[in-house]
Amino acid sequence: MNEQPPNNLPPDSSPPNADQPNHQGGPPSGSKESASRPAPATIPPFSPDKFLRDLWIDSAIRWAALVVVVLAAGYLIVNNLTESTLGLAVILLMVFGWISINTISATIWRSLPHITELIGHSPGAAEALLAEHLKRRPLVRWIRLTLYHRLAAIRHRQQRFHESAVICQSLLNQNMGPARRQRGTLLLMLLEAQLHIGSLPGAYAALLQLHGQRLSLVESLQRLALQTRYEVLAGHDAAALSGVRQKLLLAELMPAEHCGAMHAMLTTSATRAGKSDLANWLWSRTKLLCSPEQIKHLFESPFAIGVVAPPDPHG
Amino acid sequence: MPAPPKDLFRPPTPEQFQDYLRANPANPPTVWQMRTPFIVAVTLIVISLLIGGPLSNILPWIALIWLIGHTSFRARRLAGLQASVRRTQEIAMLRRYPKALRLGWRLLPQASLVPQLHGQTIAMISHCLDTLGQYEAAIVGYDYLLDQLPPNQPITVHIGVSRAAASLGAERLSDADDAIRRLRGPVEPFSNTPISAAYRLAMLTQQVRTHHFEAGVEQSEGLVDDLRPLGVEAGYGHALMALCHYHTHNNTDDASTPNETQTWWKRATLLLPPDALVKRFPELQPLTELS
Repeated sequence: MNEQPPNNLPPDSSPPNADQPNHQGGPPSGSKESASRPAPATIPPFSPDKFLRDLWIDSAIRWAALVVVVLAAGYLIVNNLTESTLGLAVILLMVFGWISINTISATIWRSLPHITELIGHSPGAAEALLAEHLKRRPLVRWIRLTLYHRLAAIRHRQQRFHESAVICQSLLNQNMGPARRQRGTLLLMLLEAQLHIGSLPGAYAALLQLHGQRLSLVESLQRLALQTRYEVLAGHDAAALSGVRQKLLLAELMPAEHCGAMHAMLTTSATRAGKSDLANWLWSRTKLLCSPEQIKHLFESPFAIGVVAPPDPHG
Repeated sequence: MPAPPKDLFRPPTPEQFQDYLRANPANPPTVWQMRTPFIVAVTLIVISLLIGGPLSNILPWIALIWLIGHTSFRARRLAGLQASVRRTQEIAMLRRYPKALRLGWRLLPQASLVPQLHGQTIAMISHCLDTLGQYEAAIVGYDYLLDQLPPNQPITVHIGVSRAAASLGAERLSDADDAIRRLRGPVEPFSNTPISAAYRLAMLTQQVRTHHFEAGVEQSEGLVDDLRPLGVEAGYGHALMALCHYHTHNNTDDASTPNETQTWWKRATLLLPPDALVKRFPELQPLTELS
């Protein structure tokens, strides 16, 4: 199953979000074409209570179905109807009922890669599709949890970090069953959201959990970038610079922009730690890896990591 | 008795790769193969309707268990295959190309059941071969993928650019020239991405391999920006530009080492060590004296 990587470094590098859902529910004024078209479905702000209620209803329906099956089987056995046509019809009904119930979840499961793909370039369309799927009942528990995981990814992409953090936290509090493979991405999103919100204790807690988690290579690289960002923000320059060569080898596996941002963050730590040779070398690499606009972003971003360029030896 | 060598695997020749691809084409299950478990279940239920006795009570349950078991087995097998392909790709990402190549090679027959994983595995094998300098074999893989993929998709254009670069590596210069010309249009929509950056690097490589150093120097403006999406691999482009300056100044009998050569070489070696640069482009050897 595809996983949606969190929107990593730098925070403001994601394109302007043209697909931000219209929470007023109406089409933009002055557009006749869009006025005649129904607004794409949006999902209301996440509520942990509703999330738990959804899980409970799914569970209740499935248990109720199981109870009906057991009672029907019991009735057939007690009344010695198992060999009759009625008995066979009931058994067939149970088989097809089981298949029908699971078909809903199976259909949604098949559409998950498409949702993941949409999140990357059209979060609005992904949200509309997700809104439809979340209404379906009963869903297998891990399928519903996976849908909420995608909702967290959409909110993260839309830079609604408070909501994304709450969704991640709610999911992490659940026993995720087969969806537990997504704990890594959830923790990464939570960590990044906490850093955006400016909650260092929250970020530390997420980081701690991430270190006990088995991660893929891409997730490990994201953790490295976020951990470095945390250490720079928290002023732990020695920690940020420990094993710097190894960190840079890993950073070189990241996309150029993220690799450049890693270099910029390490430049900050090296400058603050008074390691001017290292800082100069890192800064020279940063200037090759990041465009001037990206460097400007790193300086001016509202979520500034305090990038400190080393003093220019030539002036 | 000396211990046998641990790794007997050698990169395949183009012919071997071609034969292997022919023997292991994408072979997804047919619609009827997909429906078989359901047909078996329905058949069991029909039999239970037709016959009497205790067997007719058991058969529907057997059908249900068969259906659940088969679906679950298939899902687990697919998940296992996806995990194996992902692990192999990670090994390639970590630049352990011989190991990734060996694992990918072994994985290909299983991956042929899922066209997407089959394509990913061939792309990974081709990339490993390309990086290991087995350009002719890499071209076999790229050609296979280009035959299968829809035109003008990002992945198709990217593979096309990789194929052009591999052709240059294999000294198939006219082939590379055709490919680079053909790709000019399709690459345009992908400006400022690794695709356009790889294309720019391929163009520069072509200028170096065909000794058009002055043309390379003339087009040096904006090269740093153009190559930036390649990350540290942009260093190869900077080194090639240093070589263009080096030869241009040598041709004009300028005895002093030109500043531009040093500037570009310094940029290159900031991103990549000189031995890595020379390993991929042996013609850069004279510039190592500038380090």
